[in-house]
Amino acid sequence: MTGHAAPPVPDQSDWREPLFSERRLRALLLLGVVLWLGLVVVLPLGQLLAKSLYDGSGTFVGLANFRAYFANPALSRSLANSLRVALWTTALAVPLGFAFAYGLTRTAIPGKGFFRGLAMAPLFAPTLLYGITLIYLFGRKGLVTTGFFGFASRTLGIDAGWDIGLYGPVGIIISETIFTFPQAMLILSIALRTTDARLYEAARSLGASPPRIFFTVTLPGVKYGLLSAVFVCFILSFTDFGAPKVVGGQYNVLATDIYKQVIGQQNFAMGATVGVVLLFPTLLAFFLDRLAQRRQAALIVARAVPLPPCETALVNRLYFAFCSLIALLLLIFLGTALLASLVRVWPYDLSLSLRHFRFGDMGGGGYAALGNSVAMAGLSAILGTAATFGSAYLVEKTRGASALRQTAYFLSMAPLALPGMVIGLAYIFFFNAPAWQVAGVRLPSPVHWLYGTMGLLVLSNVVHFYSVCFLTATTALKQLDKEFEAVSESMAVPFYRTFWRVTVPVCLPAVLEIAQFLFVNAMATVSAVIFLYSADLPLASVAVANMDDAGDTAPAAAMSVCIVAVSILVRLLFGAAAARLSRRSQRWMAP
Amino acid sequence: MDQTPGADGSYLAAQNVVKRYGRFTALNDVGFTAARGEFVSVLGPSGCGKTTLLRIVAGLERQDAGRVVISGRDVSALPVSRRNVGIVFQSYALFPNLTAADNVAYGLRSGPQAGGNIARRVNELLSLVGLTGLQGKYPAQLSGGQQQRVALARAMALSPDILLLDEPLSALDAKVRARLRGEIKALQTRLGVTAIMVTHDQEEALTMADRILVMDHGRVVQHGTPRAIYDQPATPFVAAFIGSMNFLAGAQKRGQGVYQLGRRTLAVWREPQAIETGQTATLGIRPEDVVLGHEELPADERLPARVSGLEFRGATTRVTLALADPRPETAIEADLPAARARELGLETGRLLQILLPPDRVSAYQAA
Repeated sequence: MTGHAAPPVPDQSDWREPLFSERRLRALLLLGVVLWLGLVVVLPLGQLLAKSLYDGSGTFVGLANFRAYFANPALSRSLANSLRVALWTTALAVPLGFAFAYGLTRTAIPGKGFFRGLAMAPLFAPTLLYGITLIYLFGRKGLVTTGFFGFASRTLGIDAGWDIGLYGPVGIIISETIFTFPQAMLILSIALRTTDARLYEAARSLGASPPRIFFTVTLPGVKYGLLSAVFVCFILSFTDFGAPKVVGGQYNVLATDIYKQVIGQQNFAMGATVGVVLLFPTLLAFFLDRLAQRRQAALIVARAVPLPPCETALVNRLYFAFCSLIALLLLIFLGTALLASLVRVWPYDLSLSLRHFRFGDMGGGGYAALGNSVAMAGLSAILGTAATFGSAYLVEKTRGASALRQTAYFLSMAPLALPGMVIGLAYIFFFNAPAWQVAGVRLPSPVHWLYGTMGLLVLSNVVHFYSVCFLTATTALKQLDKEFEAVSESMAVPFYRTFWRVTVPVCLPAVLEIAQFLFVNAMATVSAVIFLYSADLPLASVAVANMDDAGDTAPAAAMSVCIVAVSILVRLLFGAAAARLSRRSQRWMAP
Repeated sequence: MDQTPGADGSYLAAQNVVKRYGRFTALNDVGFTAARGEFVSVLGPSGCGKTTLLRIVAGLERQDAGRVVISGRDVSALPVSRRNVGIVFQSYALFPNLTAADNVAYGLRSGPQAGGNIARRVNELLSLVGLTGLQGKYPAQLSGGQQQRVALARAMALSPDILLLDEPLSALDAKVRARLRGEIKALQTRLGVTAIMVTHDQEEALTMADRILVMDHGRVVQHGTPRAIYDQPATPFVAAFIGSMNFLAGAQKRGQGVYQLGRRTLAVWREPQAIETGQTATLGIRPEDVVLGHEELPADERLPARVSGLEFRGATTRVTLALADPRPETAIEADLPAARARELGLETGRLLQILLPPDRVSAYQAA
């Protein structure tokens, strides 16, 4: 039992690490993640920033573009407009989402599954569709504007027509509220569900009144969720392109300005400048959100007791009435969208027909565009899932290499701050350039071949939705025992085998969730791809925008209905796959 | 220790190991050895560095200085995959989507065995840990104790040189824990594997280990057999951490084995730490070593005390006593077998005589 005796001479041959050790391989893969994100996020963004400092002919002009922008009231007014729309939308969507989420999580109302499913429905549609549907309801010949096509004045003798002045801020704000409502509702549902029942028991036992409990326990408990919902609603409505394009009228916002500068006037320098103006408030909101999220980590208690939904009968009835009202409005809205695509000539001939679904004689690409969109969404789902889950795995489950891991994490979260318009614009500049100037030397661009291909469309989608998928994967991976890697390493089993045999099977629900999210979003997105599609590769969502532009509103509605139908179909398929999966994995899932 | 290959007779040796996390020193010049087939337990409070030490021996963490030698081979620079160690983690880290048999077989596929040999080896291992017939069960379908044994079988599958156990029983309830203590120890003895177990549970260490390493603040404070550690704790920390001990502060050394406490002189035969005559010391005695009685105790050794509290513990009774001297009143605790407690007819407020047997009292340097 002598503590430290002279050790035997170490065998030096054992000291060398094999050339392709696990540690090196993982570090190499992480480096790959960092380089790939650098190539598809940092460099294009840098290109966009650079572009805003040059004039149209390629001369460096410093901040002259920005001075020109703010000197021109026609342009700078859009910044104020965008802010106004975003603030109004946030002020409407967050309380509505909160009340709805509260009804779903904290009360004992019936039909929660139905309410939740219906509230999520707006997520499937391009935002263009909200604008189009609003036109059918509140537009010049809209159902409400004309008093149910004059029915009210004819039969009741009263003028029941109601013109809400749709075109402009009103239409945009209504559209964005419908668009952001499900997002706020989702975030707040999660926040409201993760609470500790013991806090409520303690408050009640101390004799606090229900309003006091609400303000001292409920609200503080979800404050980070509320902040997150505020930032998400703000960013989404601040940067959205679809709705303002359709119902904006003369009311310009930043996203439509970029489109007009780039596509309408071919003024790329000013387009880039507006893009940067759009980017900054978004970045600010992003960093504030991250800051709030970091605070939240300290708030979560490991062994919280779940709160069973319980409210008085009166409160339950109130929430049921509220949720039903929202559900009814959503149903009317979705029904109108469907009807708009089926009615022969709104509002003169209300007989139903499928003629708007015959896209052959329209611009936009018709069913070929829909096929392209499905292919693009499918590829984005497959490649995006592999990329996001793989990088989340490397970041989450690698020991050491902390500098690489932190860089990879930061770059994976960065796309969350990038509006689709900014990604699309940055990608034009980056991938369209046939050559790069590096330190005065002209190098042929190694990525130029992607321009105008399906590859670039898929890439833009993967990057656009990267962060949400990355976060989903990270959350799932964090729930795995952190010693799985150590166990397999101690048995000399290579990490990629454990990744395939254990990590992926256990995380399969999250993997399916990510794939489905990517598919649905890629189907509906307009903002990034509207700059990147080419004439031989038309896309369904872009076709909606173009047909609406050309005045073919009913076919545009029909195409939107096709997009929603495909997304719902895919969602059902995924749901069936997930159900089968959970039946199979029930054996090993904890009871 | 005759069959060990190390030059100093040790099979596993960690020497002068240092590990820092930023400014925090988790391990400060730690060393220990284990003979082949020996069961060594690393015991200490949370944050003392014991798990870090285990992970460094395993090769899951890299030490900043020092070496690890297994079976005469310096493995300091080798990753865990090349050290031939089996690890049982605190959480077991069983793969939830694999059956018990597949979990045990997980490392075998890349090993020398193949095909039917794997199945045979898995059955052998599972019967070794008493889980025959549960091959097809998933971890979620097994009890905590069964999961623990699957983890043990998996760790032993590749016939490791060293078995490393990180708080292997902490996730189990008390009854199962007591049973598994014996089972793991028996299995380890039967297989003759050298085992290192990290634990914060003194009872676990005392019952299972051949030798205990007590750690505190990133250092080894004492190592020795369970009996030696319990009987002759080297420092007040060890004494208080393993079992419990009464400390009587303010004693002064008068000469060899003689201490003055208040107005009384006490014989003290144990001095784990060097104390010079005239120095102040703290006297320690375990509650079960305090002798209680009445006038029958020798008059020049007994101390008067008043019963200030009684705690019924089933087989034993803990008596809290207030010593009249030294002032201010000093509290001392004594554990009595139930029968003895009945005999003495203890009740609160009663005056008693106590005796501190000189061979059971230790003197420590005053803090």
